[in-house]
Amino acid sequence: MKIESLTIRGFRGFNKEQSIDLHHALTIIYGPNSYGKTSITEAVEWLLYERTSKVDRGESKDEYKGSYRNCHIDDATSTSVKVCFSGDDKKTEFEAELVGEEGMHKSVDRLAVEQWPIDVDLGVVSKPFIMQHALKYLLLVGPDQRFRGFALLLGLDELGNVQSDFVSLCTKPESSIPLDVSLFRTQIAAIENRLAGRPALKDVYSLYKKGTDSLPSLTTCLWKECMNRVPEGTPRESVLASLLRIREEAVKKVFPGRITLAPFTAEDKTSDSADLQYFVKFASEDLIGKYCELIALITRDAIIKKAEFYNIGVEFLKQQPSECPFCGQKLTATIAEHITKQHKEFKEQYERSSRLLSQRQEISDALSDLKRRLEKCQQRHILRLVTFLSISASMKGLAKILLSKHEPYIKSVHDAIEQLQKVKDDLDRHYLDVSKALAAVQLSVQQSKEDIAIMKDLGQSLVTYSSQIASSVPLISGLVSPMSDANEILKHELDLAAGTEDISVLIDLIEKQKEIEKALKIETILAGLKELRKSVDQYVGSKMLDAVSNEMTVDVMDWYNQIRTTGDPDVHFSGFDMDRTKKGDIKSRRVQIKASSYGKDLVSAVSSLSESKLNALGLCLSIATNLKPGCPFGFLFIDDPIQSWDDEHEIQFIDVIRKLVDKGKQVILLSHNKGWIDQVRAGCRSLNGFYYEITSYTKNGPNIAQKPWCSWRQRLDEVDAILKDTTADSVRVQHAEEEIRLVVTDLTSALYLNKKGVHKDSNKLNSMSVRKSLVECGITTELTDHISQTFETTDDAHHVTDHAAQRERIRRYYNWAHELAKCVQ
Amino acid sequence: MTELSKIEKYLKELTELTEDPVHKRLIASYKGENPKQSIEAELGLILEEVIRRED
Repeated sequence: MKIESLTIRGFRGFNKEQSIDLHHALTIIYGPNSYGKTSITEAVEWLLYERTSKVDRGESKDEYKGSYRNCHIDDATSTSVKVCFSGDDKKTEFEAELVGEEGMHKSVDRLAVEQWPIDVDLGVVSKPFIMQHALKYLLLVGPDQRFRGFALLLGLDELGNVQSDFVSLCTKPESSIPLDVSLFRTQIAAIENRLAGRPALKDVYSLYKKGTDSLPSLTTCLWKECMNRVPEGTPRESVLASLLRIREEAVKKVFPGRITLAPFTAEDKTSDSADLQYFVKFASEDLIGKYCELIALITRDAIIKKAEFYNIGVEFLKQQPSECPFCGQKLTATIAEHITKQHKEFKEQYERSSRLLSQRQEISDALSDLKRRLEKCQQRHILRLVTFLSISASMKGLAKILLSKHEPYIKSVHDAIEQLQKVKDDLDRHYLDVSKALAAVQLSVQQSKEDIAIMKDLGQSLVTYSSQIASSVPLISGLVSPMSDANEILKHELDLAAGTEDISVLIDLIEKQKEIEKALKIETILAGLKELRKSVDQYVGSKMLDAVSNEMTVDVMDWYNQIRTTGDPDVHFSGFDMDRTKKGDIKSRRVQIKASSYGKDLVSAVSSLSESKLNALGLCLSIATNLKPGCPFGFLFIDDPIQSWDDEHEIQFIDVIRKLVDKGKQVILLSHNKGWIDQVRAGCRSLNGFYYEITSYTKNGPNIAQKPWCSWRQRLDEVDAILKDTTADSVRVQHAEEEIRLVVTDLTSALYLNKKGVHKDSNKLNSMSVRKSLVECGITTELTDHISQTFETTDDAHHVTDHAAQRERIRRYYNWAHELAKCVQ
Repeated sequence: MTELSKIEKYLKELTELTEDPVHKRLIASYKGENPKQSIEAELGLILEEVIRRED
């Protein structure tokens, strides 16, 4: 991909639309500072990458907002950059139009596209732009930042990311440790701390510190220490119980109390949840409704007696329907019918009564069940509180044990006692209320004196009791941990006072053996992350070392040697390397720049190399990365490369430009240094590139004028020199022939301007247009025919056999060109 | 070669350099939209598995 031309409108320093044709080999643009040179480079960079390095590197992105659009451009005109690329024998026009402040509308050959049709990922290949000071910053930054920059340049940035992520994990794993694992580690660390403080158990501690590998030895040593502290002959299965007993007896003598606030177990939580749901549901509409129905219940005895009386009578009546079964009186049909009807009614009442009786029984059973659940719930909660509050009687003794150094613990226990006493009192009171209400309801049912008001009382007191339970749970839970801490301190102080610290630590170690194994496993995993980090470091370091010390160093050195001058002090860049530890391991994220002074390695390369050499090295780094395989761009913009260089390096760099062109790069060179630009043009004259001068700058943008690459006289002088040089090979002679054609087009353009007052671009003239122009200017037919002949021969320099004839022909062309020059003069 | 396969190649080479199964597991978990978060989550999972283990 090379650039044929570019057209810029309203971008950065450009206001009015301007087009610049680029030469396939070398285009040189001269312009004083602030005349818009860099806007040309930035226009192409913006088109390809949607942003420019200047904006990218700006520390405050806000300050660059809206900076792509020229500030003088009228509102109706859009900002756009068009680049006509050539490659694979076809031309393609990319056009980018600025949308808003930073957006871009893209089109290729006027058809809108989402992405540029470029095969490679532009993010991973070097940008074809070498800006002022090039990559010098990469040399001056710290080795770590340099690593990141190099990783990006060498396409190893993903590897750099892998390493950063693993280093972050391995050096700061704490943020990845789940809360329960953290709490678990804290608990086990407390046991470890206590063990560390027991000189008598130093063997156990030393094995503990060795981690999982010494677990069997740790277990053996631990049991040995335990056995030493229990009566001889105690079987292993009774050792723990024996230790507990020994400790308990010793400690009791010092202080009998405990700070015990049991946490709510999963079972507690399930029971509470079920109970509270049950209590609240108990006082539901349904139950109250059923209770109310009982109010209408006729007493069982009256119903049964009457029903039984009628049952007997009805049985007798079946045998003697015309007589009263009790007195023998004659029964009229009306009375018999009355008896049958009465019996039916009592029978129905009896049945209804039975249903209500069973309903009463149900309610009675439910009330009994409620009572049982209330008792259990209250017992569960009160037991926890009573157990804890038992310490309140021993607070004076506790204060003595914990002494002033544990004042905060004593205060926290005091506060907890106050809070939990209140919780207990409230719970007791509400429990009493609910019990009374329940008893009243039970009594009403027993006595068939149902009353809606007492049932409502029960419902209300149940709700109050339930909310009291619900609110007490988080309060108690919040105190469990501080009370456990206080108890640990108490335990510790008691062990100290009773001389049972060793036994206490051994008990903990035995009781928590499985947990300790797990904790050691966790510590092994976490400690192993250092190894993982080392592996990642060494791997990434070796990858980077391969990239920088082999290919990179060779490439950069190659270009650097082009620039270095013979008169330089022999203090030079000598390659890239990776920093190493004293043991020789690679420090993976530290790219080092090596330098030597008269063959001796320097300690600090960056501080030893002159500003000029650092600039040169930065430039070489940019060039080397731009020439790496895989770069889709055949062009390279080099913007003001020689700042801070001395004259000799400036001259040397001209060779670099020639070499880049020889390697097939299309070079677009921009500089503010006219003297140097003239030297480049002279040094690269045979390349016949394009030369532009930015002659002024107004709010309309830069005035860019194309100037001749060199004068026709200079060209004819060179042709003459080649023809006189008997050692010049056929390639050089052919070059002389090409120079004559350039002379002819230059002269024709100048002649046409003289005679017709019209400028014709010499670069666009060919055999036909030259002939036509010469005829229009009144040149004789003979000379016009001769001049036309100069376009006809196209020898292939490599296959010329008759060298004398070739030279003779070019000499004739040379003379005809002189004749034409006389017409111009 | 795409970016992803480039990373896969790195991770494969890195895995070959380590023998520790935990390290192998962490390297294997380096994937997805946010690979850093993935390895952090995997480490958390490995540690939780240790404390949940019954044996």
